[in-house]
Amino acid sequence: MSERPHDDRAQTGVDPGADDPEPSGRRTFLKLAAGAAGGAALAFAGAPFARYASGLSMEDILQRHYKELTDADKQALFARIEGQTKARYGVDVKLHDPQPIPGVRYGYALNLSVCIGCRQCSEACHKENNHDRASHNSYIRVFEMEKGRMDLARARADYDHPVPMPERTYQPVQCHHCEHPPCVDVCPVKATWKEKDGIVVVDHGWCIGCRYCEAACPYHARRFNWSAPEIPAEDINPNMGYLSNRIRPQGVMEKCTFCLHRTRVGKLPACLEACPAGARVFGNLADADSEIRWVLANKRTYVLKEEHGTEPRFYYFFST
Amino acid sequence: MRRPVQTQREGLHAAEGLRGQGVGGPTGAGWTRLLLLTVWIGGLGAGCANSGGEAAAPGDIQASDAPRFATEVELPQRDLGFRTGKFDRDGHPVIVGCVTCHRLIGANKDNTLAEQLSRFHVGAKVTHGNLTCRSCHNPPRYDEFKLVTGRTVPYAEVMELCGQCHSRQRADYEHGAHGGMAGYWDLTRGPRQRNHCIHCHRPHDPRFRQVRPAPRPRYRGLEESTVHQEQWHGEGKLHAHGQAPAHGPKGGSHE
Amino acid sequence: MPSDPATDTAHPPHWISYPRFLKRALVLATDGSPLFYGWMTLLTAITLVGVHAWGTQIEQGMVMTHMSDHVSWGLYIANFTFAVGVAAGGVMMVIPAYVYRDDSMQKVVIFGELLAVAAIIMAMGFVTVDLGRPDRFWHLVPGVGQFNFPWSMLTWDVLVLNGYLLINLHICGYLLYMRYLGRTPNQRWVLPFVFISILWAISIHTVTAFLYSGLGGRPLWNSALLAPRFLVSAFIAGPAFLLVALQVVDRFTGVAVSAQATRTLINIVRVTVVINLIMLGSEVFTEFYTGGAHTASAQYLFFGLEGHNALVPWMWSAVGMNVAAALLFFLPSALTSRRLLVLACVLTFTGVWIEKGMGLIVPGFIPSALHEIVEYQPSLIEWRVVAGIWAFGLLIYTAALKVALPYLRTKVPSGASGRATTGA
Repeated sequence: MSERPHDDRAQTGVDPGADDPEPSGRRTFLKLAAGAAGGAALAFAGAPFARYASGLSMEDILQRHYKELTDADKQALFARIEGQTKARYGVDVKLHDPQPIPGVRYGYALNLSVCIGCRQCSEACHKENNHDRASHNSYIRVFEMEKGRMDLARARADYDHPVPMPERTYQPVQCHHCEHPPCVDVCPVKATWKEKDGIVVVDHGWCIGCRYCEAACPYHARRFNWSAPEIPAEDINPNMGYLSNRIRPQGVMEKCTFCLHRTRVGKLPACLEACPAGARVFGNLADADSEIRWVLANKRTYVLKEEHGTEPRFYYFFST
Repeated sequence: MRRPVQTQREGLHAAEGLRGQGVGGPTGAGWTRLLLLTVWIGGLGAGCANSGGEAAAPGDIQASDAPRFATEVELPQRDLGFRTGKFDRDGHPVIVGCVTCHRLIGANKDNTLAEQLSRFHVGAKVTHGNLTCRSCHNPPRYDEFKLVTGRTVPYAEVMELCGQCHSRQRADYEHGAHGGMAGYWDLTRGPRQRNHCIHCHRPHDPRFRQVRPAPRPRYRGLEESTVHQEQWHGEGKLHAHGQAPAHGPKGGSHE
Repeated sequence: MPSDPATDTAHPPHWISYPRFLKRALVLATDGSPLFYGWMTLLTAITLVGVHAWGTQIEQGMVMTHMSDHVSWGLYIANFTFAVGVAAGGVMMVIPAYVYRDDSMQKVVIFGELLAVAAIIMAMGFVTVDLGRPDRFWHLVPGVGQFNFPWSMLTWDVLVLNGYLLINLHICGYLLYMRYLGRTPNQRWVLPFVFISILWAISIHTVTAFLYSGLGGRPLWNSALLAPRFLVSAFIAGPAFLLVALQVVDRFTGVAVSAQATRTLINIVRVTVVINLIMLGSEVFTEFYTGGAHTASAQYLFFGLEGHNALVPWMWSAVGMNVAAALLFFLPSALTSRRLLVLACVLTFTGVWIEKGMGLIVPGFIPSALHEIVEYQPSLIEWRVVAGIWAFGLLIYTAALKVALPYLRTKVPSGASGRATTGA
């Protein structure tokens, strides 16, 4: 250590402040006043953050990825979500976590000769999945194409006239649960993945809301919660799956899950039940006797944007 | 193995219950409910020939031999008869059974088209291709319909009649590719309910009617939607009731 | 009198002198002329407006923006893309300085590296405000969260951006600290990092381009030319900003900037501006000669689609600005007239901002993957947040320059490397 009197300036005098006069008292006062004003402004600017943070619990913030949760973790998590739903929406709900049925790979087919474009599937999806009412969100979008065209680039989803119009084709589009989903590849935090039974799911408790998956999906299948969903209590579907139709929080992604809270207990998805024309066929691709396999073997089927190599599990077919 | 929904040779024992029931006069309340499919119990081996001819692929599972639940097909909530357009005190449509009049009045064999009728159901609208009344109706037994082979089927089995001409749709229906359903995709876990043909396709005017669709999607992001809204001026007419037929067996088409 | 670190026992240890250096830096950063105070107060005010706007967005949800499920990335990611480019371009001066041993550039290298630091912080800011759940940021931390490396390009971006920030912080911090101590920087702690930073600068912008160009469902982005275009436009925007910054420093601080350094930067921009226009031409030809539905986004951008043409004036302005700037840069008076130079720089900086930001991100979503056209104009909250982040970036840059400049004024003895590390 040096024996010389110590100062904080380098010995070769590179400190350029060496020749500056001592700061005046007024300057110091002004600086302090400015600092105080700045602090107040910062407190004001930061107030919304404080309000938001107060709505989050420590368990919310520290919640781990779905695949890392033990059964006990899940019980606690579901209980917490049920409590939060009750507090916010005033409804008692039950969260389930149905596991994939062994030996099942889901497939879905839609008959373009039969679809009348009534959008009942879209409505049913909206209701079953507890979507935000204000935006009338749904995972299904129905397109109307003119005669002679099967080109979605010339289709319209916003038609508003009696259906079916003669010589028009109607094509609902939803998540295809691709074999090679681009959305799964791009998620930086692995919040979305393909399950053993083929369903591509989102862990709403893990998603950070970067919306990269929404940019990557070629089928416009993913939706983002731009706000917390607003649903009247009487409209809420209380039969919920954690990975499917529990009421999602603000700021996370969501998507069609083939109604896994229904299909994993053997029921038909809501969109299929709603179809009055019977244009939809759903079942187990691994079962050679299933209706979906019959359709694939006996009808002209195709998939959207096949050239992307996503290998969808949602097929379109014609009656003849 | 998946057997067709309805076959002649199945024990349609429940159909017998329909005869003499509810077809002789104005109906009150009451459904016409029919269970058409029996429950298979046991012994569904994987070796059965399947009707579609799809080959087993690697990765396929063995067909389960668990007992399967039933698939129910309900006839629409309507008795066999002619709808007068009037409604009784309880709001139910007044339906006149064929035999009400034709027990006393013979059917005029010279009438082959609805336009030729001179009394009562003169305004019947029949737009079913080139069919005449007697293509399907079977006087003097008005609770039965006749098939092209000459065999008759009761009202409860009228899908057979539809299927003899519309066999492709019938086959599709049996394989779940035509006509709505509700319930379970996995019949080892629960039952299923199916629409009947005449839920959606009324026999005299079978064209699937136009409906008003559910509301179109809302596009968020800007105050006014800037989505191009092309107004197509189509030729379709609006259905009188303006509602899409509901799913499942309880919803029905209506006159 | 030079001090030899090896034998100088009178020098305090680093754990004492480094905090003193930081304190000195803080004093330097908060002390200055009234103009300086005015500038910093303005920037702070705008930053706080942005902070409040972001807080409102977090609290109320991203419904406060005008993004939608059709156009799900907007102003934030547009500015993120541009900021990464500026950060990469800031290091453009490093190549002539160290690779080509251009002594005049050596003096101003630190401007570029400090710009890189400020721009990377801005880029990280833009990404953070775009997140739906910034409270879940920790999910991205490798080892703590779930890091989808190497499949997700965003994870690559997280790694390279943070790495780039650390490299540049190290280089700048080390150089300034050594100068504070009056010591010659040990090139062992500088040169390897400098060369790494050159490669890393290229990688940050390539990785950012790969975020977009790897998406098959977005034909406007799914082009091999996207990464080269990004690099070239970065090497316009970075030097253009630096040229203006150097002019500002020259005008307001009395630190004379060498004309040679300015000339080198102008020569760089002359080349990159032309290459950028050539690449633009290549994209335009490929899109419009081919035609078809895959080119609908380009159609929307340049000519409008089915009556929707909100971006058309922007895009043509950008093209016009870049062409005008190219012409101005090639004029001989660009080397002599400060006004002309600043004009050209502002034109091209703005032109690249439009072309790479709103003119690339937004039309990638129009039409949507299912060919629907939903347009997008940023909301007021988005503008406020973006202004806040820009102000914050400028705040950091100004403060950093304010700290660095005094050391550039003074002479430090040459070290073993034989290079004069003098301030201009």
